[in-house]
Amino acid sequence: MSDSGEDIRIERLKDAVVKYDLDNVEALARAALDAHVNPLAAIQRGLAKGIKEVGDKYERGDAYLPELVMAATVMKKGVAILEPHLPEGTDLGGLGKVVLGTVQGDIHDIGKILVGTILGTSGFRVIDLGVDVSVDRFVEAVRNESPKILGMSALMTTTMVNMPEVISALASEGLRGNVVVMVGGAPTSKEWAKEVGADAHAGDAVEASSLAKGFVKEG
Amino acid sequence: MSRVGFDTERKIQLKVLTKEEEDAIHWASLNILSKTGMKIYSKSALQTLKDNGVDVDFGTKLAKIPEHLVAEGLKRFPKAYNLCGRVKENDVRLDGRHVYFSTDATGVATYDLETGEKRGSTKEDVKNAAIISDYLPGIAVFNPCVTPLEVPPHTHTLHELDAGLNHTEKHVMVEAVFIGAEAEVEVKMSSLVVGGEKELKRRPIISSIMCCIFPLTLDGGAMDASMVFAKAGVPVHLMSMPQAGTSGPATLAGCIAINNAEILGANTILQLASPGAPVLYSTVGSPMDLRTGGYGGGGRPETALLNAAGVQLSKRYGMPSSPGSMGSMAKMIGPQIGHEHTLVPLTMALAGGDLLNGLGMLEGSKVLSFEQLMIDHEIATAVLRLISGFSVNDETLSLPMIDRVGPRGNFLQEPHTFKHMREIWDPSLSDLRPYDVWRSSGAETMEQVARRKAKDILTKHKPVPLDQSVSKQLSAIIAEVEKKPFHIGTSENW
Repeated sequence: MSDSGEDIRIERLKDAVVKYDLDNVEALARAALDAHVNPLAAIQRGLAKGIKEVGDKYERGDAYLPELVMAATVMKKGVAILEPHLPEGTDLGGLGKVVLGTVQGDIHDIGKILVGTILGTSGFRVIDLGVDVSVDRFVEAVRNESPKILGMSALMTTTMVNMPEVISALASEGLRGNVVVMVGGAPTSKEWAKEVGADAHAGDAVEASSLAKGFVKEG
Repeated sequence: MSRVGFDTERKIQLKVLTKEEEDAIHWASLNILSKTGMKIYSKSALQTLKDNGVDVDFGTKLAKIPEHLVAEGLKRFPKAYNLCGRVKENDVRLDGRHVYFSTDATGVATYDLETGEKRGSTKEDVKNAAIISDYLPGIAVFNPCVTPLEVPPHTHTLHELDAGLNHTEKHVMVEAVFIGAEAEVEVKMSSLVVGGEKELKRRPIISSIMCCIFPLTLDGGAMDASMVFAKAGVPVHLMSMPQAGTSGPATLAGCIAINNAEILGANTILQLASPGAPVLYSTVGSPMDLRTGGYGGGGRPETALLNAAGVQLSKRYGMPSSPGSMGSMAKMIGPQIGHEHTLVPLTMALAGGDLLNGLGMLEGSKVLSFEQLMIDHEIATAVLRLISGFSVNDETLSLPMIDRVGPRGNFLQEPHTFKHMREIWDPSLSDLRPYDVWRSSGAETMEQVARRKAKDILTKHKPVPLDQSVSKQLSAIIAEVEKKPFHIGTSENW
């Protein structure tokens, strides 16, 4: 990194994310704009590089989850200032859409919210259908949003049986081939995923994120 | 060994909150209930609150529960009662003066006692856990440990209850009942066993767990089911599971304030709908796993602090308690689960919890190990022994004997020793012999001893079965439900 004014300002944006500096990130982003720093570079070489650094730390087990979430919040705040100044139609290079939902009959979704948070920080666009999501709503969302990945969660043995229902409904609507289906939640397992015809099972949010990234790369 | 549960009186007591802190948490909870409110996904629960003048929003499901109703709720439940066994000798007295242990629920896998392989759980596992729990004196209450995966999902808890009622004479708990109609069937089944609904009210041989959804949310089906149980006089464990850092604040004080609000809120609804309903205060908290955001297991110092604070608050209200006691994310039997399954139950016993739960499970209560169940029983009996302390009087000081035996004497041959030696805790799994003796007699690990003894119990112990006609009727009731399933879910009404 050279020590040009632009590079220093971009570096400060990266540091704001890495140091969870919620109070100053907006001012730093505005200062960068005032100094005519390229907003795309400010996002990609600044904020996004920062979140990658924290993400790597998190995956090594050196950062706590709330730290990763805070870094993502800092980044979002900075992006919100910079984004309006990007040329129209700029592609920020995301990993694609993920639709998430907790299956019908179940309103336990702490784990699913965490998965959404981590996927969001990893670069996915997350559409969370919420809890107690019916088969029809899952199918509709896959049809309308064309996500790369569908994630379903359940906490109860009595509700996890709705997962295969969704999967077979996707198949009969001709949508199953277009989407990777991932399942999770306390009573589920790798064996369960295989049994119900899902593509993968994740035991926690970190595994969900690395599996999702793997699927997108393959695709 | 005695067939019935220990009846240990507490001599040693622990408090984790000062009186001022306890007051502050109480007032914080009242503030949360009246200002922030709770989301309640049960129409009948919301209606009950509305009928009592509460500001209820049926659209958002939010109810703000005022202090005077909470206070009314606190007046109505019985302060002391029995969790009854099928036979009177197995009754568990909840009066804040005794400590008991129960198994846990509801896992989905079992380590097979014969093959050692981890596999999906079955009704046979519930039966075997019931027989072992029936035998072990340190287990006072049977919670079904695992769910039978081979039966239709909507009958899981019915089969759990069936296996419990058939294979132990101790009190049976039901967990994860998520629909009112299911609770009605369970009341019917238990009434059959005890001799009618009136008799069930008098001698509740089952109790049910109602798990709140942290933070400040009550599941519709679970609440409906609890209202059915409360009406039938079946005690309800009001369980709240703060996970510090995710579903709860990272600070334990904030977690316990919400936990207390949930339990007070749920109690208010039950007491308004069924005045005098027997309830238990059940805090099962823990910090999240900070690195993954996942369930952190229940064996950590903060677990002990949170749940002990819950016990202390329960005593403030005179509500019997069933605090989370044994819980671990350990994947196998070993040092992790050993220390975690000692730290928290010991703290709960010192704090004076009534019914300490969680025996026998690995992986955050998801996997049953019969060997671990035996080991946890060993821990439980040691904890029960410890909290009863020892008494000091002429007989126990035994000065004349000490004078007679004198310096360099030996007490082994004394009648006094013979009389009192059985008061000393007797481990059934721990090996106290010297190395060579242990080696030459097979060098068994604690896990191996536990396996051998568990198998032995299953071969030899025969709990008194139910009358054949009653047992058949229970099966018939379940068969009926299997044919005509009720809708599962939170959204059955709306």
